[in-house]
Parts: sequence; C-alpha cells; structure tokens
Amino acid sequence: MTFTEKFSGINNGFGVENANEATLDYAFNIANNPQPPIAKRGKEIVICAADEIPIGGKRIVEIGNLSLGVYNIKGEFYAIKNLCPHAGAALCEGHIQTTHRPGEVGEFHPALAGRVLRCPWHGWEFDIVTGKGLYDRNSRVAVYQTKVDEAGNVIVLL
Amino acid sequence: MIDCDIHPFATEEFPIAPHIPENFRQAVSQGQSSAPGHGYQNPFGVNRRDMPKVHPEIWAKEHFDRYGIIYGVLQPPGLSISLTQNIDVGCALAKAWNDWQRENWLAADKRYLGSICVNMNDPAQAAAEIRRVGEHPQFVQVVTTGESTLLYGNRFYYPIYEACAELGLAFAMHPGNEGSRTPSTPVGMPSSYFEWHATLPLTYMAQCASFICEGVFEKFPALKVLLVEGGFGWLPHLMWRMDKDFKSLRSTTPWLKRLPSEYVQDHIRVTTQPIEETETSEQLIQLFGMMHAEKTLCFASDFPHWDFDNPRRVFPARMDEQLKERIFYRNAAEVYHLEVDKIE
Repeated sequence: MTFTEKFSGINNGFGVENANEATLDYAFNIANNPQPPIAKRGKEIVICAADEIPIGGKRIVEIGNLSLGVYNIKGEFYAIKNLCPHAGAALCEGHIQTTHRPGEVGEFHPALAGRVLRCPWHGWEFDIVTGKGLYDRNSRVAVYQTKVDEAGNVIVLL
Repeated sequence: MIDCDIHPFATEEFPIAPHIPENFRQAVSQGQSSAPGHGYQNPFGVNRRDMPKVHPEIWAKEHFDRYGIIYGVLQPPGLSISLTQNIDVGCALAKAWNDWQRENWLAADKRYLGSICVNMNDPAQAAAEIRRVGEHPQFVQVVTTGESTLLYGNRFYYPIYEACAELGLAFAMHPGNEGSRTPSTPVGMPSSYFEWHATLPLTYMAQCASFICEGVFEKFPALKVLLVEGGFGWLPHLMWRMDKDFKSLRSTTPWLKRLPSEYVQDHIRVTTQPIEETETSEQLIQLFGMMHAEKTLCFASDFPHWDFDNPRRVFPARMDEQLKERIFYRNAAEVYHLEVDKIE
C-alpha cells in the first residue's frame, strides 16, 4: 500500500478530491493557496499589543488548556497550535526557516521563506500560514484566524 | 520459476582467454589485470561439494530440469571487474566476460539469461559496452559488485543508468570481493570470511540509501535495481528509517517527491538467498509483509555455491500461494520484461 493509499479517505479538512496529485505537490499547493483557517467559534482572545511582537517574532500564549504560538510574519499575524501531531512536542519552540519546494534532481528552490516552522524535536516542517505539514499529504496543525483591532491589539479568533 | 543467481566460471573447456580483446592480451599477460582482492577465503571452498561439472547442458539438466526453473540469471566472475586497478584493462575484461557468456551459455540454452559486466570506473566505456551487447534478448541486466569507488547514487554513474533505462535492463549488484579497496564495513576490516560474509548487507544498505537520496529514480524512472545475495531482513528497517528521516529532512533533498519506502517498492528488488532463517516460520512471513515481498523479493538459489537454497525447502509450507508465485516468478519476470504468464 502506498502512503497515499494508506491515508486516503481521511478527511483532514483539505479534502481528498485530488487523490492523484503527487503527495508533496499537494502539500505545497495548499501552502501556496491558503485555505480559510478552521472554523471560528466567535470567541475573540486578546493576545497583546501588536507592537509587542516584532516582524519575525512570536509569542506563545496559554488559553485554558490550549497553547498557541502567535507569529508576526512580514507584518501579518498568524496563530498556530503549539503541539506537534507527531510526538507531542511544543511545536512553537522550533525555529522558523525556509524550505525547498519539490524540484528536479540537483536543483534547490527555496520556498515559503520565513514561514516554515521546524518542530524542535524531529524537525518536521509545517507552514505557519496554513498549518500544512510539508512532508506528506494529509498532516496538518490547527491554525486560527487573527486580526488587529482598532486599539492595536492582536486578536485570535477561537 | 526464475532463479536470479547462478554462478558459472571459466574452465579449461570454457576458457576466458580467447575472449579477451587481442590488443589487451599483452597487458593481461603482464599482470595489468590485477585486482587487490579482499583476502577472505572460505576455508571450505565456495562451491558445493556435489557440484555438477561446469557445462551449460549439464547444469541445465541438474538444476533447471530438476527444479522446474524456466530462466536462470548468470552471475559470472566478471561482476567484480570494477575492482581491477587498470581502468582500460578492466573495461577489456568486462567485454571478455560478456562474450564468454554469450557464446558459451546464452547460445547453449534459452533458459540462461546473461548479466552484462561493466567497469563502473569508466561510465562512458561501460555505457558503450551496455549498448554493444545489450540488444541481445538474453542479456537482462548489468551487474557489478557492491563495493564501489563512489556510492552508486552519485551522478558520475548516470551514463550507465541511462543506458540501462534505454535498453530496459536492470542494474544489479552482487557481492564480489568487497573489502578490496576499502574495508567491507564502514568501520574496518573483518577478521574472518565468516564475519565478512555476515556483514555484507551493510554495503547494500548504503547503496540503497544512496540510490534513493540522490534522486536516481527521479532521474531514471524506468530503472530497477536488484540487490543479489545480500539478505532482506534489513530492508524494512531501512524503509522505516528513511521514511522517518524524510519527514524531518525532506527539504535537504527537495527532488524526492515520495516517501523513500515508495521508491523502494517501485525500484529496488532483493533476492532470497541466503534466506533469513528466522526462529519461527511465522516470523519469516511477517518479514515478507513488512518488506512488501509481493513486490520487492525475487527467488535466487546461488547454484552451485556452498550456501545454495533449495527452492523446494526454502519457504514455509504454510505460505500464501500468490505470494510464492510473486517471489518465484512474477517479480523477476517484471523486472526482466519476461512473459509473465509463463508460470511453471
């Protein structure tokens, strides 16, 4: 059984309608065409003043049992669950890096500059913007909508 | 049944000397055909004590007819020719072994399939040799030893893989004097033939990972690689380990589009002999499941060597018949583009 077959039928929120698309291309396509974050329930959580998270910076916050990383990437704010789906590491303790998109043999094409979160334990890569794992078809981490309110606070919508 | 590993060798009746290109005979007589050798000898000899006389007709009767073998793939001594010190003499000797096979064995019986010997140290000459003899319908693969100057995934070897892909030939490795130029293990020289023989799979693990990580199968999607006589119990381990590493390190080899284990299932084939003799037959069946033996495993006897596997005794009695058929025939038939319906 191929990896793709093994996981076909799992509804991960991105659907499996393009099951024939090469696994990694699919992952990168999602990263390049961000889908709306998972459904919000209307709860607005104030994180901090926007200028407390500089460009390239992050803040880890605990909201009840939920731990989130809030990132400032090029002036936009993104919130991602601080839990790696692989082995349970605090994902947001990882470094932010750039990956390489799939290409021809011997070619390196840097991709998703500054928005790839590498898990601090095993180095699995996730796109912060979409939560998509960049090593297989279906894995992902929950991401949450954010906004900056009129008072200049970063808000996460849960 | 297809037997992927049969070992003919030169005798007085079937000598190699007349097949050496004339302009290289002087160099060979001067000893320029020397290869360092690994220094390990089986103190009991490498051939079965009851080996029938080396003769294509006798072997066909004693081995093919006895076990119902439809095709047998020759692995001649020339598979080690890449260890020859002199590159050009090595290339000349490769030619000699190919002509020797063709004239003495392939011509004698259609059931013999040949392995094209090449000198891996000169990929251009090797590719030319593959094209010189590769159109012959009974040559089904290129063969070389597991020891190499560079790991085989290196692009230095691309001309060879290009020729294989072009002619529909598999690329095979068979142990042959590993430990000649570099130690046969990554950490030093074993102290006995026993130890040398037991650790040969290390070479294959390295070559297998090299083929996959370097992207050879992205470059040559038609290429099949056969690892002969190096066991298979290591294959599930390597598949799992590479898949795990892929998740962490994929971006360092961005040309890989699929899990390493998927490349293994599509491109790597291993042979059965010497069979892993597990504590229970159930364990062997489990191992077959883990390695996707229905795709990856091909039968080989190693006739007439000392650790020959008898096809009638090699597998557990309670084993799925379809799986047995895949291992005995279909997997190899697909790799070698033979008629898949010609089942014994």
